[in-house]
Amino acid sequence: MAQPVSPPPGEPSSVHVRAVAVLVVVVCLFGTLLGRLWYLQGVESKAPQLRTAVGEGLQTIYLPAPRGEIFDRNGQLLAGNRVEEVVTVNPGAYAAHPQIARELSALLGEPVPVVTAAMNNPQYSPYQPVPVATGVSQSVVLAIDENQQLLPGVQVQAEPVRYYPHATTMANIIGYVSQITASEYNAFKSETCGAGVPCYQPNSEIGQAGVEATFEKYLRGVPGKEVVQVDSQGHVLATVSETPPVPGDDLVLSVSLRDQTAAVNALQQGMISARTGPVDIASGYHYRAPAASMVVEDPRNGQILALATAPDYNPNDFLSGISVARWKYYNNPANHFPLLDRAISEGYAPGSTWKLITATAQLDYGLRGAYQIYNDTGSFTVGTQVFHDNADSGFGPVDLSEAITVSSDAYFYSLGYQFWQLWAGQKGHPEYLQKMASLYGLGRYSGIQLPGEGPGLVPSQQVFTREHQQYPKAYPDPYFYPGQEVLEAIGQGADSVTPLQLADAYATFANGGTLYVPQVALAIEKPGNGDRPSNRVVKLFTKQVKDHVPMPDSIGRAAMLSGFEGVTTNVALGTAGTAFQNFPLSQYPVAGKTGTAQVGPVFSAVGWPKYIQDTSVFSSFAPATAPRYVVDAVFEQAGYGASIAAPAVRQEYMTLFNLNHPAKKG
Amino acid sequence: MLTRPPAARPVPAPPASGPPAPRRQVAVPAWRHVDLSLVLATAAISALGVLMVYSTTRFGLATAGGNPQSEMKKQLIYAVLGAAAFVGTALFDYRRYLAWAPALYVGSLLMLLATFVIGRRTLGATSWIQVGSFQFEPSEVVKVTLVLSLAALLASRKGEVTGRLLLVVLGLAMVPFLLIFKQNALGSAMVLAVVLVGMLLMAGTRGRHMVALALVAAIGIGGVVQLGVLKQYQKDRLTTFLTAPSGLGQGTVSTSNPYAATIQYNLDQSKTAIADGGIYGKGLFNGLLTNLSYVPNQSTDFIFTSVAEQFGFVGSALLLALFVLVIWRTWRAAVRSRDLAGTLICTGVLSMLTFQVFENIGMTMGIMPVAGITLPFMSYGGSSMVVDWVAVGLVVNVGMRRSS
Repeated sequence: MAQPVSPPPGEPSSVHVRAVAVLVVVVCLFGTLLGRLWYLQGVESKAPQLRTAVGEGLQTIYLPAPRGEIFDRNGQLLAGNRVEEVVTVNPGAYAAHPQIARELSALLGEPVPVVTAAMNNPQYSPYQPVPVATGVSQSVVLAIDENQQLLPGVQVQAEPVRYYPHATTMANIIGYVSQITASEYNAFKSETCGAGVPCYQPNSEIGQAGVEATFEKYLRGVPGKEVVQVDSQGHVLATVSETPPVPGDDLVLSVSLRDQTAAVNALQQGMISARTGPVDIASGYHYRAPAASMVVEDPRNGQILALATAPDYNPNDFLSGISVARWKYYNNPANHFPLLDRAISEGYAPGSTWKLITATAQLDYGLRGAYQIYNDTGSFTVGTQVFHDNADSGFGPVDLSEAITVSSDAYFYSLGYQFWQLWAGQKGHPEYLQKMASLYGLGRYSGIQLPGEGPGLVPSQQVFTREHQQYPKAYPDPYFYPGQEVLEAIGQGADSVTPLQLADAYATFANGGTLYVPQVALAIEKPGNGDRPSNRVVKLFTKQVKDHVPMPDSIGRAAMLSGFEGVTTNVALGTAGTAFQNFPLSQYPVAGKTGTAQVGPVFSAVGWPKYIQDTSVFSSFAPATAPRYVVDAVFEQAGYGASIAAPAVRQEYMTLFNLNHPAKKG
Repeated sequence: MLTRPPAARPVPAPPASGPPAPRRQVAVPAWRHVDLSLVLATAAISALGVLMVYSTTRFGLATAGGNPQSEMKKQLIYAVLGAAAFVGTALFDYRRYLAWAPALYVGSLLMLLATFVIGRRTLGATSWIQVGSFQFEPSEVVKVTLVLSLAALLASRKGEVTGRLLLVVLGLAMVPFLLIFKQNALGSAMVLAVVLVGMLLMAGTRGRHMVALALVAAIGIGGVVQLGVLKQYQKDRLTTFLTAPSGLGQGTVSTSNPYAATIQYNLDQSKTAIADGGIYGKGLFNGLLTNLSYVPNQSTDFIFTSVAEQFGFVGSALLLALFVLVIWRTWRAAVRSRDLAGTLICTGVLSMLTFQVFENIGMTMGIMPVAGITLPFMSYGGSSMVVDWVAVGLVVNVGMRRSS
């Protein structure tokens, strides 16, 4: 203790005693404080509820990643990101300054309730500016900059927005992105990208159709993560950490923009010529030709070069939420459902193009030799039922090659009946024709990486039994009758084949028996630089073998090939001879087959307008000797395959072989 | 050390002669005895206070569109004013202040009374007086004038506290106590009571007198509580810390009593922020809760939470050590004083500082009731800063003028 002034002698130093007592009290009090401090900071600091209490002050904002771009096989941009001016309102600004709703309404030309609803959009984090209008003009940008006193918290930000430069041409392949729906969000919200960052927020964009949907996980990238400090009033005060978003990878398609554009044009012209050409003899009315599709495939690897469908839609309509009017338009039956990708989803009776299957089956099974003559009398009779040729007079004695070239129905009717007899007459005998159809890829999904593919249908007892069991009312009779297989052999009856499956089947024959999985994507690449592909491959999509078809021997295959070639070269008898007149067949021999499929009951049974006109089909490959292209076309209610589909395919070949501008070529 | 003829001069006597003591010594040698460690510790606490005010107010000011440094700068000015007041206080011999004690006492009472007239008009039923653009709290000033008055009075009877003297002293203390109590500044009134008890104890009040006093106090408190003199919110503030859980977590909040709920919330947030600091703290400007205004009153009464969150147990303990240093040096000055009056002045200041630090920090940690008492040298505000520095000035004054 410090030495005080000396106390007066003799007097007991009561003050000293008291002073020490005071000191003891002080020490006790501070000891208490220190003990309590230790309890809170040494012991309670590990309590779990502390973390939740402190976590209130930190909020995480996820920043969307720029989406990968999509290119065609030649590096042409098909889906890109455009920088647009987006008007945003800071969180809380509207609550503090309600007048901005009125000001913005006047500025943007939108009703006040629309602006208010946009500002209150619950899909945005309350710590993030909310977009109110996208793609505003420069004058609006200037007006907002100059009137900040009237518009506190209103900003204009340049944000990347998806756009599709070749809107309708590529719509069915590219698809579109739009804001994630509530059910999608609930399904995907636990998915993480990168280091524990959730891939989706309630306001995220997601691929909804086409390759935008199937290659979503490559295109979407990794969202950025920003942790901000938020005060007790909800103001964002500072950024604690920021991880920038990782842009999505680019997608390079096997599709060629040039070939696709040509296919779309060929479909349009084919539909117009069907509607304006000669009237349908059966109904006496013009053909309706409401819809069509075309597939161009490389038979050597299954790469899709063009996949056109008509009518089509504009994917840009969906970007910032589709308008009610557009949505109604796209779903109105009068407009024939433009959102449907008929090339992959719609099953058609393929008509005589199916004869490829029957011919392969007959030679493989040894049912009838290639040069064995069949006498086509114009019809074929099973029991009491007579099946007529398209040409009532008949073609007389024909071998396989001639039967294909002239499209003799009786030749193939009889084969269909024989296959049915083989199966029906011998227990356990396979349904051979159906088996061959399946090997060619019919009646099953091709596996193309596009959403919404249809499986088609190859009628068989198995299929009929299954349908009857599932839907006894719709299919009361479970039996597979001989007549049904007779029709099946020429691509009629219950046959259902998608244009893509038809192309796959012809590609399989063209390449010598290998069925490939049709492929729309060539590669995933690192993000490119400003609408140009980077050519830095992340993942390569190589050809994928799906099945093998037992090809007939060289004599049999040569007979079939000459039959298909005759279709275009034989001007007098070939069904597409007229269509390919003046086409340089000697240079680019085209092998093909027309198909004219009856769809519904005959006209006399239903009358106009219920009657559905014939489907016009043509399937082909070229050059016939070393095929590089398979092209097929299907036109609904357009009449003969020879008159509409075949010319459309010819038109496509003109582009494929660069024949439209011979001067440039030379 | 206690009784020296010059200090035994009766206080009520008018200061006829200027200097109360034969002044042999000049000012220059006295400065050599300035307790530097006391001054430096106080300055360090004040500097930390300025920093803490900045860390707790900058974001709030910035979001409101203001200058984030504005309150920090004000607090810096208060600290400089405090230092100036300190120098001014230390400059003149404290015995002169003892001679002025009656005038200072009456003057501060008048200011207190003035709050009932001017204060009510300007700021409602608060304890503030507006002078120009500057507000100050007379209840803070009274703390120092009461210390001086009591010291003068108690030392006047040569250290013998008679019953009559005790009654006079009690009466002298009761007037400002009641006035402040009437202002609803319960905390400040409690400080006065503690100062009174501390000084009585040190002055040598007899044991039986102290017992009698304790009885009267107990009866008085009981009466106050029973008769409903305390307002409901005052009771809430006094009792909430008892009903709250001692650790973290939400206490049971009475939904019918919103005021108790806000007290409870303040307490929860305060304890959470302190616990958040852990051993080493979050680092300067990193304490989430105190930097982002999650603790109500965090720049004033609850400023300790920001120290605890940002500097942890280590930093908080260091701050406590600084306060202990200040209080110990004050105690040392009390013991070494050349006269009883000096001892009592130091004791008054010691009682005031000890109680305020214990009550304030204890309140933020949930072991003392929530009362509006500032943390000396740290809480944002000018009145308490200046008055606390004046108090330290008195201690240094006593310390440097001890006999050499």
